[in-house]
Amino acid sequence: MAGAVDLLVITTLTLWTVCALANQLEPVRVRFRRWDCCSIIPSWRLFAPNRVGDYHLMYRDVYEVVGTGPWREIRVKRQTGWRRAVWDSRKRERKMLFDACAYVAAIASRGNSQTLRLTLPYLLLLHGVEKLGSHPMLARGTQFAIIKTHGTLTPDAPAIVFVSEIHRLDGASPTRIVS
Amino acid sequence: VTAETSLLLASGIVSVGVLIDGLERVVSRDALSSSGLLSWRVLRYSRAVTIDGFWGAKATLFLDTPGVAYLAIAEVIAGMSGVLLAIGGVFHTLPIAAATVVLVAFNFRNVYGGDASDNMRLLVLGGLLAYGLNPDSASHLAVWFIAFHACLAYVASGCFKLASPAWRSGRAVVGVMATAEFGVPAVARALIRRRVIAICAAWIVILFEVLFPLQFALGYDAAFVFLSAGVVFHGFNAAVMGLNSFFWSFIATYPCIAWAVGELGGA
Repeated sequence: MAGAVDLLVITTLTLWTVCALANQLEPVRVRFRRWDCCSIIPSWRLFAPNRVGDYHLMYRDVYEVVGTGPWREIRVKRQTGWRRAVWDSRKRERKMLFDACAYVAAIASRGNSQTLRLTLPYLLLLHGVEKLGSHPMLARGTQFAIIKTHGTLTPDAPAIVFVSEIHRLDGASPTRIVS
Repeated sequence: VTAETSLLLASGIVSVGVLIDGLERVVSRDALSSSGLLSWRVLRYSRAVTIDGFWGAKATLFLDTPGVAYLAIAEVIAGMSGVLLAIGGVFHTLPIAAATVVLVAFNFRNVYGGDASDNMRLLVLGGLLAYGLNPDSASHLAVWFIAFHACLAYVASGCFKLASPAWRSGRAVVGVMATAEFGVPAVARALIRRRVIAICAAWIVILFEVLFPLQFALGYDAAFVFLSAGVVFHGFNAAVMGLNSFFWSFIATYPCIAWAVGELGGA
């Protein structure tokens, strides 16, 4: 029995190590990502090759009579000051927003907008706009945009990297986005 | 220091990270609900198997509210137990196994929103679990496993940075510090004013990461320097960039690295 456990432990750790080594190579990483459903295999890029800028998720509502409302941002609270050295309870939401925005921006830049609205990142962003945005009862639709800024100190203007189509809002329903 | 002691220390440190992570998930549990950004009602569409049917229903039971809130509470309990046991000088497999299962479940659930600290924590927990399953013969293997993966993380990351012109010129450091997510405007302004500091900071990080395994050849004195620098590095990243979970995940590997350096006979 002890021998079987030994074998299992050695095999698992060896396989894990081999996969982790291989996963540092870009072509392997792309392949592994498809079946590594639990993010078990690490990829140690850690801010390389370059992490510049932020994505901002904006939305605006569309009205029957007055046209469109102003663009507003979906913000997730960021812990400030020294406390964030030990505590930042909203970091996963911000990371999700960043990852989803980056994915949608990348797909949109390749011109694959037809299938984009069926992808998970698009649905996550739409869900975020629906649930975290403030939609007046008179609003009949909403659309979102992804803005990329290049850091707080650079003179580069923010870039609009994606604008969604308008999604209809159901005024009577608490779950308002219906398409 | 024995291999067992280094694993005990690693379990204590990684359990602090597990505890903080669990508490953060409990406090921000509204994000996991149907009206949150990490709603299972959307995330379940990431895989065909979780959309509906038998497995979809089972996954929803654990990964939608309220099941996912219980998972977060289990993480808190596992972390707290791990810390208290380590303080008492006891290694127990149960909190390690629970923390591993919860982390894998959250990784499966949250397709987006994870980071490299989760990867490193899972590797540490994996090594500790291997030791817990077979404490008589797996202690050395577990320590080497954790130490090797820490080195791989630093070296791979250092090589990617070394290959990047933005890192070599220091622009990447300014870029990161100027972001709203990780940056501090005062630090970014200082780096822009004195470009040489940005270049030095970038090269210090690159050299620290690429040369990290050198301590295995140079021995304890070098290990003391590298591991102390690592604590400062991750402490700075936590305080300035908000990478709090990276601190506990990576520092947890240090007792194993120190033991492995000694095992190789470094004087």
